[in-house]
Amino acid sequence: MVQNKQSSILIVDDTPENLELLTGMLKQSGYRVRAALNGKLALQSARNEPPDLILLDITMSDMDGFEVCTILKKDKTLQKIPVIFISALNETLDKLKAFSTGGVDYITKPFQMEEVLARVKTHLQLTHIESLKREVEERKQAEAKLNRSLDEKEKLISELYHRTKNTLQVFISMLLLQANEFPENQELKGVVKKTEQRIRAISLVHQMLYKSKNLSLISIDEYLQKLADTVLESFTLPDGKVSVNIAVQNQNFLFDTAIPLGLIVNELMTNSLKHAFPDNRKGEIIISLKKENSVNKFEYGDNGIGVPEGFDFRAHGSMGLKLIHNIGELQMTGSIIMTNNSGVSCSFEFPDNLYMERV
Amino acid sequence: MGNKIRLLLVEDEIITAMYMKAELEKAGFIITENVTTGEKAVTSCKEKKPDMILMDIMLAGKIDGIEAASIIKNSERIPVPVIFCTAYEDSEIKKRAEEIKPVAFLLKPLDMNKLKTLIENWFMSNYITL
Repeated sequence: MVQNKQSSILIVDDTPENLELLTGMLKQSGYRVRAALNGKLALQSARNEPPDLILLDITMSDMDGFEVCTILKKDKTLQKIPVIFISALNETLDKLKAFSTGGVDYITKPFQMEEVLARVKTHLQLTHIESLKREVEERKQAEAKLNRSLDEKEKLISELYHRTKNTLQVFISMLLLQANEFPENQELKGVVKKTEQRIRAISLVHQMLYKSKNLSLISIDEYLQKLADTVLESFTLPDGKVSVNIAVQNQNFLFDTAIPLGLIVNELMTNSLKHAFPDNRKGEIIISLKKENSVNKFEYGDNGIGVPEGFDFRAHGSMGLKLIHNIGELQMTGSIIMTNNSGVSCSFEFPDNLYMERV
Repeated sequence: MGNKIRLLLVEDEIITAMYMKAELEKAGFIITENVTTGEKAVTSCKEKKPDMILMDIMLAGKIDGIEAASIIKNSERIPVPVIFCTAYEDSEIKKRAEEIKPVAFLLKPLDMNKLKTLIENWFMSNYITL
């Protein structure tokens, strides 16, 4: 920046005495000073190393100050350098011409040292402020550009989630359409319904991601709540038959973790709603998740009729139970413990860094 | 209910439309037509006079489902009730959609039981005899 180093000043005057006087004075004030005896030399010097300010005499033999100034103002690399005219011409017209060719100021000879110094200082400061303003403007533009591209990226990702969600709707539609061809087959109907609900559990994550601010994390509390609602709704039970109690510590989960957990909850709830509360039996399902020392503890339980004596959760061949064990142990690295004690319960632990953030 | 409820289905995802049509017909509704653009929705509404419109929002064609619904609302003498069925949940889209005062705003993947109940309940409370 101009102010961090010594400012350099180019003085242009064809009278050596004037040059000497001005040079000496400005040097004494701490400026780096170069001198040029005519217009041509001045332009050459300015092009070689652009100064921070030019003091320019008007009446010179080969090329006058107005001409020099006009050429400077046409040169892209030099046009921003402030030019102060310094001249014995004292007519208003000359002064006006000096300004109209691009000068920033006009000092009349004979001059006062203090006045020259004051004007030089002022214009160097003004130039400095101008360049700061430009820099701020440039940074603002760069920032705006960055924000735009960030916006675009976010829109793109959220559009992707939306499309995935739409595609999942198409899957469900195809599945159900095909199943409609066998209206009498109750077994098939059951299979389709289960598959539909599994797709929904995944789709819900995408729906929440689409809305989430950072596009990769969702509130696990909200997700499990919504998931439980959709599973419950899909069974069209009488009001108040089964209540779901969710005690989930609010945490943000990556979708990589939310989806397998959601699938497990989906299977557990489906089993409970199908088998645990026959006839008019009312009941409750409790889902809890809390983090202790970087370990997430998941617990699920219903207060239904439970499973028959000697039932082996692990060896049972149903897809739902297989999913629970495989997802919980292979994917989520926990140990699934399922018990039959005044209802069915399931618990397991998984680390809070199961997956790392990818972006 | 005497007469069957007649629905216009505006959905450009054909498989989803086929599924919705099958489910709704099974439940006793009549689908007057399945169209895939907002423009066609406006025309179909004039020609076939459905009792209700099931409207997707993002559609092929120049106007989206909300614009189509708003054109229909302003041109029909008796407003045709609309249920939006969309995968989009933007607050902006939702806000725009709510301006035409729809019966409901449903999210995909659709819960068909919910949709059927909604339609039946609306007609039950708005037209005692159909």
